[in-house]
Amino acid sequence: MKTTRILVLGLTAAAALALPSLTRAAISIGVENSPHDFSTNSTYTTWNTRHGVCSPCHAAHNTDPAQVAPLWTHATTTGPFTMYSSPTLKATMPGTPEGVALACLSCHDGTLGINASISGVTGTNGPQYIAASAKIGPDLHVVHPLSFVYDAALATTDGGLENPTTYKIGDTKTLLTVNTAPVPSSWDGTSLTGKTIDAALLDSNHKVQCTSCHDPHKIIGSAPSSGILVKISGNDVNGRGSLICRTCHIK
Amino acid sequence: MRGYSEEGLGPMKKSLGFALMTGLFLALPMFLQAASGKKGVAGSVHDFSLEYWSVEQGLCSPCHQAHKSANTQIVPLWAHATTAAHFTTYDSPTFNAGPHAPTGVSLGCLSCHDGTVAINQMIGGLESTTGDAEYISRADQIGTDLHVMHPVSFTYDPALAAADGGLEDPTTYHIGDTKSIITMNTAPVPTVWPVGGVSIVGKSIDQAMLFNHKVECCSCHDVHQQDGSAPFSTTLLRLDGSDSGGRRDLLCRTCHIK
Repeated sequence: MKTTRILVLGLTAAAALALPSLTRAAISIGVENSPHDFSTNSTYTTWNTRHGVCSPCHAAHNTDPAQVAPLWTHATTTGPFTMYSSPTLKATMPGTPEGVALACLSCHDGTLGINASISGVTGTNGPQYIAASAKIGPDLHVVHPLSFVYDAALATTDGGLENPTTYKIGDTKTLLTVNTAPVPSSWDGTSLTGKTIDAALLDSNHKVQCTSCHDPHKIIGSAPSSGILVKISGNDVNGRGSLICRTCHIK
Repeated sequence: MRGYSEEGLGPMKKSLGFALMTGLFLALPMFLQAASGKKGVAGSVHDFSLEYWSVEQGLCSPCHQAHKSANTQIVPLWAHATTAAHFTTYDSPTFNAGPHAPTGVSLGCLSCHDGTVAINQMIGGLESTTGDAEYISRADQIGTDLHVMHPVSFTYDPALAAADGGLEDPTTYHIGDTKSIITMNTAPVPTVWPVGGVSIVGKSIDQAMLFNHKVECCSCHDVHQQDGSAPFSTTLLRLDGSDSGGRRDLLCRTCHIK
């Protein structure tokens, strides 16, 4: 009798806890059906006749020697770029974007077609450029800085940035009175909890890149539920947003 | 309510009680200040994340955005609509820097505080769940007539300090230094800084308070409520409270030698 009551109580509680995830709209994880899926939408199949999901960006052989992204096969932008600068920016900025940011910008700066590969423009309709709403640059002075090293030394110099080697995703914030961890209540993709900023968000050279905030494959962290593939999006437990900004910045 | 009688306590307990009370007495001022202070935007007067109009619940987004921010960059990654008001500027026969229309980061502040642009007016349009434009309260309005305000957007450099004669050299005078010239030269800094805030002690005026070597609204106010005394200051002043002699107006006395 008592056991039954406890069991019923337990099941009710479990159902109540499980309910939010059951009632949520289906979330699509991965490239398929994401904004980076060029395989079946008729906008893209004029040139992507082989319906490749990966091939707009990657190939298994004879890829770009620069390898700005792993097995990169898209043509790479040469800008020219105007970089971000500010009297309050303490980082050492390169003169032009580097590494994986160049890969993102190879479509998003609007200078090359989405269908521009290292062996030329694919298809017979000429270059197909990105929509204006998704275009970033090549004037990057209005864009958050990228391709700079974000290390413990920068955090110290700046005074308003977490130490990327010790601050972990899901930690409460240092210095702030309302120090709520700037993370959503749950991850729709792979969890970032417990990873350092360096491990979760920076590239292998400890640099901030486009991919620090965005996951082009829509798998990591909150990216599956974010319209713009942001790795840490949604609201914290107090209902406040801007989570990705507040991960590194102590404001 | 039951009171404690010390008579029943042994010597050891009495000294323990004394130590605890002393500890409490010493800890109290710190505790009160720490509790009254806000460090950071969340919970501050600039936290709009939980406002009725907020679509994004953004803590940063009312002012900043990572892409397609304003060309002018008057504020880093500025995303708010910028005021186009005509301002009446401050001038005075004793003001050596001359009249200056507000520029740079001060225009960012005035884009809400002059009362001409809504708080939720972004460069991409109104951010509102209801379609309502939300303006700053009258009490927080600075207006467009700035002839009654401390000047902003003028260069404050060693040359100005020399020409004026009543200003510290912003490149050599550091926060926490004793004052030049005057007899009562107490350092115009508070005796207690907020716990956990960002220290400005030891920074030059130029480093701690100027923007492109200019005096701006943010020279005195820290919009993110973090630097110096700002966490305890209702008006987000970087220097607030009393010096070791019990005198206030620390911020004014940092630059001015009076």
